[in-house]
Amino acid sequence: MHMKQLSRIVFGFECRQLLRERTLWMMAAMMLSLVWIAVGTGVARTATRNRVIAEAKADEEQRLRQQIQKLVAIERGEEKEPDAAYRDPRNALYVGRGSGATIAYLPTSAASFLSIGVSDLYPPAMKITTGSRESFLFVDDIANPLRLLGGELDIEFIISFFFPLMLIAVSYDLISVERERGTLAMMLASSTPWQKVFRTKLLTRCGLVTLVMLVSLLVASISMTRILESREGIVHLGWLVIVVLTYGYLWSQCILWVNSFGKSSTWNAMALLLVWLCFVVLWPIVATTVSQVLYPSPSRLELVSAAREAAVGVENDRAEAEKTLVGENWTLASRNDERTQRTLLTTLASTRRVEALFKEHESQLRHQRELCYRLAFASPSMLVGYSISELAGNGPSRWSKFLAGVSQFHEEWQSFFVSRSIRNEQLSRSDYERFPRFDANACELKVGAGIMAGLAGTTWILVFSLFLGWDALRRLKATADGQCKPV
Amino acid sequence: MRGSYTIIAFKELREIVRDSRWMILVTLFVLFLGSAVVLGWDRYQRVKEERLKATAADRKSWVAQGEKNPHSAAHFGQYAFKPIGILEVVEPGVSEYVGSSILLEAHKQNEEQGRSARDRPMPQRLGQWSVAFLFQSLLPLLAILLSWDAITREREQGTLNYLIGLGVNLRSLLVGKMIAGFVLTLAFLAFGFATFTVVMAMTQSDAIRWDPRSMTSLVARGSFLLATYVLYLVGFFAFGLGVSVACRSSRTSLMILLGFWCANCFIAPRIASDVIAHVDPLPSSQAFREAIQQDKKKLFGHDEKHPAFIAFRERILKEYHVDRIEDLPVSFRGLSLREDDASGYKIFDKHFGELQTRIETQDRWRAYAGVAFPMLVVQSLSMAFSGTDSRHHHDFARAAEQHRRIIQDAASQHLIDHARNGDNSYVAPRHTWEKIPAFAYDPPSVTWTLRSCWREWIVLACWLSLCLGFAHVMTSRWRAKD
Repeated sequence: MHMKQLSRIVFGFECRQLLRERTLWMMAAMMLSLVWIAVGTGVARTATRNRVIAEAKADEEQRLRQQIQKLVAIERGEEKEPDAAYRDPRNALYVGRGSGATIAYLPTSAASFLSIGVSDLYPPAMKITTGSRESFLFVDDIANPLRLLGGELDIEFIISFFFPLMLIAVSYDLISVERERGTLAMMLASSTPWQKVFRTKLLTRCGLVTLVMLVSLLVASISMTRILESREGIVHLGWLVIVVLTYGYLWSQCILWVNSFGKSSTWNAMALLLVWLCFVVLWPIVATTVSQVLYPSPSRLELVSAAREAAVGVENDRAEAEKTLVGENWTLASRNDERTQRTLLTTLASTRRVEALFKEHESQLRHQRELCYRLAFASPSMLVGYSISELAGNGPSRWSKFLAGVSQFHEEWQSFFVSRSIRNEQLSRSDYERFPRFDANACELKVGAGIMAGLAGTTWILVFSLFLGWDALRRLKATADGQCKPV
Repeated sequence: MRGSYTIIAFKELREIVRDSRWMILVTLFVLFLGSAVVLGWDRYQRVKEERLKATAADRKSWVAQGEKNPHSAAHFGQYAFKPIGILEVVEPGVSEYVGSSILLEAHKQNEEQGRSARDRPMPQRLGQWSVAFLFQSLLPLLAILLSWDAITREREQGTLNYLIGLGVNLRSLLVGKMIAGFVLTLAFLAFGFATFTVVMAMTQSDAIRWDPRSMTSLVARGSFLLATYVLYLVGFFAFGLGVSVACRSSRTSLMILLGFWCANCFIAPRIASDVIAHVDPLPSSQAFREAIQQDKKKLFGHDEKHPAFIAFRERILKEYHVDRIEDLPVSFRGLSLREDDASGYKIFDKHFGELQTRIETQDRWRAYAGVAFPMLVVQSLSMAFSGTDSRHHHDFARAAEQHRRIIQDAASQHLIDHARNGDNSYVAPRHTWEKIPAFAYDPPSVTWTLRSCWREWIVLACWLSLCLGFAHVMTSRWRAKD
């Protein structure tokens, strides 16, 4: 029989078998619904995030407009001099601290709907002030904690968690069923190339599930989002297809490998579920726990306490604070009013104390993340999760870069206002136009960076799959030789 | 045939003990439980120490303020740190997803800040390694593995008809197998709680106040926690056995049960939260603050030109029968601050109350879905009895807000009593700050928790009844058929 003809026969037979299974139809319907729900939820989540960012921007513009109007009115003598320093639109320190505070935000990417990643743990827009970093960095947005705990149904979850289950459900008895029906011995005894038959069977079963997953994902993404309107979106969608194919290939090889042990269908199902449980559920939890035990996060409360202690220190030993914090410039600053002077010293003291602790905090978190990423190489599901969340622009790499950018910008922002306050310079209208602005694009990863972040993981999955496939074929060959030997 | 239950149960248990695969599973599970208790304990100790340290440091900062205007001191404020409860070792709940501290400052009720979940390398959305995770997600899996082929295997091996022929009825068989499986999982539950108690005793924890009231509360909470898991697992056993009776092959039974386990533990919690958030979305912080700000525009704050301020001044002058503020026997600034704060309290109560009610309603709706997917209601009850759900966090936030009001009122009263009108340079002596108490939080009683989650108990009872009913119906049908 011609090889192509054999493949066609096996393919047709497997398709008919699969189509007859009512449970599989139900599972396919469930998968389709979940994909559509996940894309819909992702789109709604992205829209909400964009709306909150737009609201924060509008609020900032309105605040600045009001401040400028007030400043002009004071300059023209239409309005009385403010009765308190914190109401004065010319007071650099208080403007930078409150009424003029700017926002920093991480724009949503074209593929943002794919994964929530770490984005729900941070507010969509951060209000940067001249205060020390913890005063705005620790602020949380309103969210139901139970929803944060359980996460959302996103494409990352469906692919890393649900997709392997579907593959297992359709092919766990790939070879064992032939043995249980008594057809395996017949096949091995005949001239039929059994390797070709099993390969086609596996390709048909896993291929169909992967095809359903990809088609539904692409159709849902294209019809519900504007992903095809940007180059980044197209590239990311293409890479997502590669990630899904690689992950699907890994699980198909894993199924083949388990089947190659020659056990019963029930044993195969149990073994595959155990592998799934370890890769998908247990190892991610163990990896995060281990990295936290080895590099425990320093206390956030310590930062808060340090800032307050610094503030009290300034009040109790003003002369020392003046000497150490402002030094020779203080003669200029002394022209500031009492309240501004105190706030200025408190700001400088808190920043100095907190920054040292922040460095330690960030270094510890970096170690934690690096270790966790290394441990992820023991779980393909974690690697796929990383890849997809990075593609969506909500992964740890992009957020870490953004947070580093925010810290850098905060220095610039603080320096702009604090230096003016130290020099006792009043803000003019033109100063308002020169306020530093956070450039989100500067912290943006290059197109393809999301891919690069997941490239190592995907390559590793591929290598691991090839090894499993090779080992499975070796075992099967040994079994076949054993079965064909004359007793 | 009452005795047949026990005979079957003993036979099943003997088989399990003899089966090396089961022994491996049991050993693994015991190791998991032990590690979860130890890690939970370590986390508990670390967090407790952090919070105690922070509380002491904050008190020190507050007392060390020196001579200062009382209103400036009120602006500096105090921090309220949520004390960690001992049952967080078992069930961390949403603790990492709500902040652990609230700044109590003048004019403003703040939300909790500093979610420690941000300090994780990757958010653990599938669960945190804890005793509760093992009980909620892995113990049902064990229940499934004990029940999926309980009847189908007998049928496939051809022993079912033989047993029936010997006079054993199917219900006795089912109950006997259920007892065996249940005894095993109950042993796990007991082991989990026993390890927790031993670790506590060995470390001679000062976390427990050994007075009768605290001990009663802890024992009561622990017992309700245990009862929740027992009902959850009995339901799982009944459902597993029902499916095993209903299915023709062990394979189909396994597929159905594992599908249900997956949906229950990992898919349903996400879908339920998403649907509820879509139907009743929460406001963003920006919108929430904006709404408060709109309401606060009616108050005068520090604005002496505000119509409300002018009206208040007139009222006070009339009340004291004077024409000028300078002639008042008390500080007008103190009076105006107290008045403004009191009006602000109503606004904060309205907005924060609405927000908290909406979050609690969302959680309750999520728990209602527990009729079909019991994880949702069990998680809710488990967190409630461990004091780690949103309701307990809201109780803490309300207590913190009450303390903020004590600080504000004390600062304003000090000004009223001691400051002179027209003298803006008044500073209170150093010892003033010591008189204002530190925040002390007494967690709600177990009765409060029970009252707040009676609906969840009904949902759990419904799930259990449905499962027992399902097993009963399946047994009756099968008997009729054969």
